[in-house]
Amino acid sequence: MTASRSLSALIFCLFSMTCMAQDQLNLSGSLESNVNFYMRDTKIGAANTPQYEHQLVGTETWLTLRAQVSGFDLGIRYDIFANSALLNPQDSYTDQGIGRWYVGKKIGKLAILAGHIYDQFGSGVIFKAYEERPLLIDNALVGLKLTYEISPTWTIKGIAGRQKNLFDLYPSVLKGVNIEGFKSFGEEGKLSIAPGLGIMHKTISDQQMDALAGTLSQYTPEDFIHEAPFNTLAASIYNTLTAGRFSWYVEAAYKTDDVIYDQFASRTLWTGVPSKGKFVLTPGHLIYTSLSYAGGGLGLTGQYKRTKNFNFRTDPFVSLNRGIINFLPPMSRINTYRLTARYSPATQELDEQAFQFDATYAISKKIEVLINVSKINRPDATENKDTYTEVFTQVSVKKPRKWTLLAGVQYQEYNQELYEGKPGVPSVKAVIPYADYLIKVNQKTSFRTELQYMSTKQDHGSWVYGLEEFSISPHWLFELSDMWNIQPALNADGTDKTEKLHFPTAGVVYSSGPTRYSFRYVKQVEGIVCSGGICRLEPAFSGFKFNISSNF
Amino acid sequence: MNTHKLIYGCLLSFVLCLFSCDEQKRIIEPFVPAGNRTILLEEFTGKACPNCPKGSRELENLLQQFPDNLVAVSIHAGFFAKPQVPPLGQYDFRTPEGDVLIDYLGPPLGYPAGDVNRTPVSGEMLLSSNAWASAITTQIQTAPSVELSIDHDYNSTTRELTVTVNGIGKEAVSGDIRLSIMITESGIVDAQIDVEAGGLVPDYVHNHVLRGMLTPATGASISNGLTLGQTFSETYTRTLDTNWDAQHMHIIAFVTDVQGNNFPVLQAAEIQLIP
Repeated sequence: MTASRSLSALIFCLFSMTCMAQDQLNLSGSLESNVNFYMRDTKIGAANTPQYEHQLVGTETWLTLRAQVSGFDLGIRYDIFANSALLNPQDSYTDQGIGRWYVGKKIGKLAILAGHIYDQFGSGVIFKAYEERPLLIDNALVGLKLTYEISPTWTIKGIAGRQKNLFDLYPSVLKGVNIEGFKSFGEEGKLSIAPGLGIMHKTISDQQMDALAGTLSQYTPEDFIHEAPFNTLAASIYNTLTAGRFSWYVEAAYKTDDVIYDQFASRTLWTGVPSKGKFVLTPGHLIYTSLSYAGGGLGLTGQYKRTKNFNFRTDPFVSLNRGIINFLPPMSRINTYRLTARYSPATQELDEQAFQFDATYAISKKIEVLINVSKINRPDATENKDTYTEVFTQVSVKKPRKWTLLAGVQYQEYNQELYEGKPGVPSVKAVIPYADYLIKVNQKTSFRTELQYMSTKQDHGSWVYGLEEFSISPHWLFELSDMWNIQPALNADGTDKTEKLHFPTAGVVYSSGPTRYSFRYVKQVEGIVCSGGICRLEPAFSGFKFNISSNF
Repeated sequence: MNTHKLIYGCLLSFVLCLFSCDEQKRIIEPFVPAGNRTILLEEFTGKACPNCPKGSRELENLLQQFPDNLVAVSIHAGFFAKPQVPPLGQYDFRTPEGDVLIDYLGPPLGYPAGDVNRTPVSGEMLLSSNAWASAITTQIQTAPSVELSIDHDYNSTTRELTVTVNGIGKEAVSGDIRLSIMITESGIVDAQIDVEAGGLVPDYVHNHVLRGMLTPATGASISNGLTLGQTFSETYTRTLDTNWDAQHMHIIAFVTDVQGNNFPVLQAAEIQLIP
């Protein structure tokens, strides 16, 4: 069914039910719209994309409408991309249409949902359909979901459909089933388990197999794959055990033989020239566990993850953040400050071993300390084995209703060659002290100040970042910031860079009820943008950004 | 409780069925090229693109495997082909025709990207390098609807190149039949970023570089449809730039059948400028 037919059918359905319904119709919706005005600045590298060259303005809009009537849930979302850089930051994308529609109904213990479905099994390692607008990830499963409530604490759900590919669908078919529940023991319920089992099944289409076989048929004998499966099965079993103040989550997943693209695998070409990157036939596995303790002002969490060949995609030929069926949880801290978040590691689906330890302790009601350590490597790799190390500390001191101070130091070792595909560059080693001070002048007015310094000799060199925010609640927020390349790294030939570039930002945000408007002048340095463990390199930005978001 | 048993039973059956099903896997046979179809591979690349040499190696790999059935051109266009900060060599390989073609056929979602016979695969015109082989395998299995031959004359003193492309319809085709003539140069030594070589390679050898076209970028209209046995002969002239090495140049000619947003290549041919 084409998008316009879907829209017509849904609107017809909506109006029909509204006319016939005895019950009241509840309508709600949301709007999010971004407008970027591009102003070329070759000094910072904000140039050489169609937006800077001649398009000048790019926009993205998502308009959602939801209706509830007679026990039915209906929804539709219209997406518009006009000269947008979201799909490919180095290019322009224009298209529009229905980004999502769904119809749902609960009948007794059975819930039916048809259309674009967002959901996940367990932590998502074998299936997660989700939307992440900053990276234009929209992995909705277009099909049917049935959820049955076996008991108040046990549910089973089944899904079937195809994954969304912008305004189209991938040809492969996905099916899955997930059962999960909860059981407590003892009278006080201090001991409980929350087990689950998920299974996903992928069948690639004849057309996809023809394309794959066409490529494999031309491999040299050294790399040749003699048979390729249409079907791949991924299963995961997981459980959360809670015992008093302890909680232990463990998940193990296995994927049967699948032809996946291994970008690091050595390949022999017919020319005799060695190269890297080829399709391989391999199973995959993943183990993820998280043990935490919380009580008495102390919070401890330790996590471990081992991933091997857990690339699970709807199409063997897609890469980057396209066509991903699952979601591998990131194992580094999700940082938010401008400089502490500058280098973030993307999850490595082919080979990754990661540890993370996080501890928080409330010394008193006013003082809290935090330390987070993460270490990621690739045990089976021949090069770029050590990929990421981070130590993050923070002290939080506050005087209730008066002021709050957050301060700490972060240390990072970030394998830029691996994560950003920049050949030959050394790993970035950075030390970043930072402070964030919020003072409330009165009930309506507050100031917030951020100061950060990144000391590194790699990549662009050392940075200073300062931000001043002035807030008059409930409507206004003004911000002024600058990121200054105070000590640029040396040029490739060892000479000093003379220019110490500034990346200023100035903006105003106005909020009125559920609607928020922001208008900002932005100069942004090239960097990695991540969502969860999925990251991509974004080129520098120079220009104005206008955003409106609203719920109604 | 009976309902629960039924659900668990169904779930168990589903799992057992999935694990026990013995599927008929696709047997992969080595592909041996045959026939007289000549395929056009247009690769979009750039000197600042770290992964593009991998695409170029794949292109050479395919040329080795399809010596009589494939012609290739490397079009330096798009983000990575634009003059970047030094040191990235001395030449700017971009051409006005390349800039038109990247808009006409793209833009690509990533680099290297290329089209095979200007025929989309799963709705995508520009394919990543690991998908070129399969697209060639598909295209090569159909007989060409046009036969092409190239005659040329080159005056090394005036550097004037005259190219005549002769064709004959092998079956009836409708649409706007267009002829494109490209000239490419190989063996150009200049810088290139190469992820597999660990960074900047100052003496990288660039091959099949599009230097220009004798026809408009999207082709010159020569006929409204073709019938079986219908012939055509088109002649174009261009003076070569003095910086180009004629000894390492090739002439590529191909015919496209333009019908709205579809413009597949019907047949391609290539000859050396100085044999």
